[in-house]
Amino acid sequence: MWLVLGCLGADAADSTVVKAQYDAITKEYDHNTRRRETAVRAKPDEVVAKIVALAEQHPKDPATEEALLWLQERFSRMKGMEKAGALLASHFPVSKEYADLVAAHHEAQQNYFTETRQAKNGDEQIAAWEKFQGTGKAFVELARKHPRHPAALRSLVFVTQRFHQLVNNELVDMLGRDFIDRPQLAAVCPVLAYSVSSRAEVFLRAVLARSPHREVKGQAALTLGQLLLHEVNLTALSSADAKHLESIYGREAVAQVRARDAAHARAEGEKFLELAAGEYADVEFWSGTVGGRAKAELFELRELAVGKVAPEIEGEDVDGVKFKLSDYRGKVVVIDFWGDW
Amino acid sequence: MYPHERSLVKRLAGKPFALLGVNSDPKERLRQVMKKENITWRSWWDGGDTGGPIATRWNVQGWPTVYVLDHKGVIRFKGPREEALDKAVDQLLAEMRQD
Repeated sequence: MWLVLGCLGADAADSTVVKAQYDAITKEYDHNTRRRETAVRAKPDEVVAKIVALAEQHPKDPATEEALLWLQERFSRMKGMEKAGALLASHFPVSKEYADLVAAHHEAQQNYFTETRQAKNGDEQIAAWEKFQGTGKAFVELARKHPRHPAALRSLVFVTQRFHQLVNNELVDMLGRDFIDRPQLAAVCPVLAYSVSSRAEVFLRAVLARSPHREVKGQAALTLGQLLLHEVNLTALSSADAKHLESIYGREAVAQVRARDAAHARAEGEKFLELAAGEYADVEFWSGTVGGRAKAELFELRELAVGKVAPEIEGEDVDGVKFKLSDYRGKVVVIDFWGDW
Repeated sequence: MYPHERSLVKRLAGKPFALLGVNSDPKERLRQVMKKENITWRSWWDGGDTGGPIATRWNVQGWPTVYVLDHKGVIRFKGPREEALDKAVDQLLAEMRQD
């Protein structure tokens, strides 16, 4: 009995150890990227070499599939990546399909930049943009073809990060149906804050209720707050602005979102921001925290709303001369946050 | 945006009106653009990038972001551009005359 347990334990530990070795490389790299710590971040070619070496030692381990895909997304055209591609092709064919799409996407992006630069007029620019957006649809197609496959999750996440207008009800429903417990949803949630999909709220509520990962729940709570308040703004859009949105997301999607009860959405949104600012305050969000972001949203909602006395602004002009907003009381004032870019 | 703002400031010269900027450029760049674009209105210099203290407190996520305040300092409009901005300012100036 002891012997059997010992063997099982060793097997399980082995796979966990492999995953931990990959994680040590990938998580640190992503963390430093997010925090913009480029000085301490490992060099890409070193990262590629390390992961390929590990993959060659453990070619069939599921963690190898994940790590090779992680590489593919970041460094698909880097020297040394042919080996990563070959390993994927022989052991993980569906993931290889996905990896090829990523490589094709990177090439299409280069072409898009070139075409935009060389475009003679606005129509040519729009045509280039639409052609590039088409590459995103191939990812959705792969996800449809291989439901529940890790590469399907990767594909859907990829689309959410790069093709906002393809984030629709179908995509959100696939994520909710097959991948509700996955840690990758931490990256998906923030994208939904300004989405136009009546299913986004359903998805985020499900994530908040069912994800086993606290960091994912934190993102979901914050995003729910932002999304609901964004939808409140959409209900008040002028019809010209609504038409513009329809041209991007489709008439039905816009109509569904605009039909909601604004007062109720606002109250709910505020509730989720409070949850994010309390329970999930310390969860990482870009270079800050979920709590910081949620508090800023609540401040805008409560203190920067139409009808409120504007908070004081005190500061210096470009020559170091101090002045404040209240110096201008008694005048109609336009405050313009601007930059020359 | 600069031409429209220039014409707004010019049109309302002498009226109880002020356009105030909160600028996120590095100082040198701000000096250059003020000279080049003939920017006569005042801006707070917000630390040289988009994460400055004023923009952060005002939860600004996109640039430009515009607020219109009445003469009592109350926020009355958020986000109007171009003609909508002109209309908003004219409305508040008219209200002020009636007060």
